[in-house]
Amino acid sequence: MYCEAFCVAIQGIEGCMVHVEADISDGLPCFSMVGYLASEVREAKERVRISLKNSGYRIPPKKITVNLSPADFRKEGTGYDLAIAASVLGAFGYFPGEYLKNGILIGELSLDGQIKAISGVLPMVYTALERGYSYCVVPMDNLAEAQMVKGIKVIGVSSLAEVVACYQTEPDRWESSSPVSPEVGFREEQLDFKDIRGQAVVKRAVEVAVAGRHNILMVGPPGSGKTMIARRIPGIMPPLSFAEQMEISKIYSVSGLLDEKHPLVTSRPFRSPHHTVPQTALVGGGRYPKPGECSLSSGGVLFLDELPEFQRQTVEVLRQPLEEGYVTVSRLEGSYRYPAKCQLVAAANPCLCGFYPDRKKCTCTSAQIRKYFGRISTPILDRIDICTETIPLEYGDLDCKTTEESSDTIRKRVMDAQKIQWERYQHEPYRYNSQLTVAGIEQYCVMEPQAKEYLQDIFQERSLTARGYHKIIKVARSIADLEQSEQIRYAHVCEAVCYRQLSQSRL
Amino acid sequence: MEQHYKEHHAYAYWLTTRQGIGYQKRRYLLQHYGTVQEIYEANLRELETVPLFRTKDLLQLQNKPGPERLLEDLEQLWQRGIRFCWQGEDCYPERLRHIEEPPFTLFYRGHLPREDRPIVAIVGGRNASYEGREIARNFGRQLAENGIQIVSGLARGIDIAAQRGTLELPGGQTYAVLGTGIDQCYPRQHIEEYIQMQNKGGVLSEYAPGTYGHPGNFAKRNRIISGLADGVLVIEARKGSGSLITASCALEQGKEIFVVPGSIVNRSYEGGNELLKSGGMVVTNARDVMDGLGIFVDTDLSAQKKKNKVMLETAEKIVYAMLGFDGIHISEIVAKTGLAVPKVMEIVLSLENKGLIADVGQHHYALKLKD
Repeated sequence: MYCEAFCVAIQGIEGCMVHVEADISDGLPCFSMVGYLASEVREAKERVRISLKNSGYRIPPKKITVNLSPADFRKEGTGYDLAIAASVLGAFGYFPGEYLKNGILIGELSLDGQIKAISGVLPMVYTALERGYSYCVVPMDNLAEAQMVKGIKVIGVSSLAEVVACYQTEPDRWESSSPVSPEVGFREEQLDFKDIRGQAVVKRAVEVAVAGRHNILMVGPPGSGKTMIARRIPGIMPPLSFAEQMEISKIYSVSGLLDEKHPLVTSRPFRSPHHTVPQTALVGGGRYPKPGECSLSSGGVLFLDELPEFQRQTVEVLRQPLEEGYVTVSRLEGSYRYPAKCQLVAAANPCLCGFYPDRKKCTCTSAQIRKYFGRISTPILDRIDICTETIPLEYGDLDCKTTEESSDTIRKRVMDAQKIQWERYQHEPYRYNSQLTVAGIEQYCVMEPQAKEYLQDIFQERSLTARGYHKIIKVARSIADLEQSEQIRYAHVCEAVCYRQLSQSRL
Repeated sequence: MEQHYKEHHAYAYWLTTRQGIGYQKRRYLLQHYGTVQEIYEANLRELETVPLFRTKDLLQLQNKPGPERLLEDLEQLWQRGIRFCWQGEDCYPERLRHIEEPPFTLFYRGHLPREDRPIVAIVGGRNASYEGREIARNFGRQLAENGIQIVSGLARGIDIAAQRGTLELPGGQTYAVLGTGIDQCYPRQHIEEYIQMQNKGGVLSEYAPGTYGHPGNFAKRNRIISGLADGVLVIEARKGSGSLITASCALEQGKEIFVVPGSIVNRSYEGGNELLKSGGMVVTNARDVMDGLGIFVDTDLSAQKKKNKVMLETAEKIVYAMLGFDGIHISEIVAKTGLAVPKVMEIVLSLENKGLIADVGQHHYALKLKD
């Protein structure tokens, strides 16, 4: 008596099919499980045995062997319980074994036969669809999330008895569970740029940064609105496409951050890890690899507030993800790849007390100020194209009656600029100005003569490095795209020069 | 004669590199023995009874490398561009001979100040405001234009601003007196000026090469700054500022004191205003300094320069009129003028290019002093 059920294991954010085989044979009664199992999977035999008993199914005293194949990679998590239980039931003949052939079963069992939610359901269901399976049985609590995948039958179940009841008929005749209508989206409160008074320069800098996907650093005294601005940046990014939503949701699903109310991530994420965050939490990793903050902010904004307070090594691990758009976590059992297409937004106080350059309030010595900024890792500063400074608000700014631009207006301009970039870079491996290579700069950044001349002057006068020079051109390209100008003009270069690295003259 | 001269040179070098032998002990030795050669050759046993000298001092004095070895050391310093001169030589600055505690030796890179030209020391606070640094730069430049050599201490703030102003001029001559050994550049950030000065003036120190900065040394070198100068110009000195030590040395040495006056409520000017009360001379431009020193030059040159007027567009004029000597953020200009951010950025950069304004920190701009 042999029976086979199917389940999905998560590796990185991708799924991998797992065959759950159960065999009943004569011999000393026992329940044994094989297939390179982590201890939580090994313990499944107790959960399965007792929940079968408590659901009213008698298990005859036979030798039960369960194998999870392929047997060469480590199985982790509790999502296999339901598939194991179903294969055992099938093997004992509670329903025809071939009914299990076309679908996958996911879920954790409790001792009383209830089925509990697990994380990572979305990529699992997605994998089932890709592999041509026709139905999925998922825990009721994960139903909304699973239903986000279109084109596959999804059945929500809350107890083992319900599952067995389902299998009394052929799965082809099953009806999908009625759709759960979720409150779609994470956007609980609408954050809009029109709430921000003054700070014209920073707003403009942010617009340029988002248009070309440049990483940005905001420096300014406490309370001048750096965090407020950062929180509004996802709102001026173009809306997510379904493919992007799916990719981001998969990451969230694997991390267990999706629930009934938010089965799909529909707005761009904003993550703001505290400065005490450990390396593995920032980029992902751990004994059992999990995506880190930079993957969770993929497609959105990774906001590092108080950048100088971060440990140098912690921030420096961001180098590879920022450059390549994904994180690779290698383990003995294999390596996992998580997307990390985030835009870095950093904020810093100008000095320890936060009031520099206002000498009336700031009490720091110039050595202290230099030291404070010296704490920011240079490799990360190198990857920041735009630096800008906020100023303390004055009463006039708070009281003024003028209306500021709304996020919608800014987003429209950003989307136009990004569209130009996609068209321009359609034959390139990159899509945004910030990713331009040196060859790309030569090819795509055509400057008017006056601009070129000016850039040459600047290069000599301010003794720029080659990197600094290229940064200015990339930013100027984004500004030109915002203005819908094919050529980079003098004015664009001027503006880009204003956003260059923190000037040393401040000291 | 040549040989004799060379040997004295070497013995002076030997004496000055003895650690722990400072002004007091050296004076005793010189009075007791007469010349450096005699100190070198003396049997130091008799010093054991002099309470001034401790055992480690005697050990230092007993360490006597041969004259050839000393000359070799000096040759090596010469190779590194370091020159050496001591009180007994003609090249020793005449102005220093008349001060209290004149430095026994001087190490220098570049050359020593010219005796036939006036010298002005410009000193002031290290945490000076942009405004003060602009004033210092302007004084440095204008005095240098009139053939005056500028002495200062290579320190942050006023010192370096004045010296930069002098270096801007093709023929400007400026000298930095260091509180460290001649081969140290403190603070490190001023290495560029340190190198430039070796061609346009010099860097000097009374301390042997390899001596690291010691707080007391910086205060002591101030007597050389004022000693070398005919007059000391003080800009933005707080109460208790190191530049006030220079000023009091200058008073003792009978040099002129010039002060750029400032508001009585601004603490940055407290020290300077104090000096004014005790008889310092108020100066508001380079001409005042020269008058104070009794230097008279034709004014035609500076009059000619003023004719080079810069033409500005209307928008540029509006922005220019808004700026002052405190840095103003571009956002403020945008808020007050109603111009777009990119436009304002273009304007400030073009004004900066024309040398009318300066970038004083991220997005902050301030006026530059007109020459």
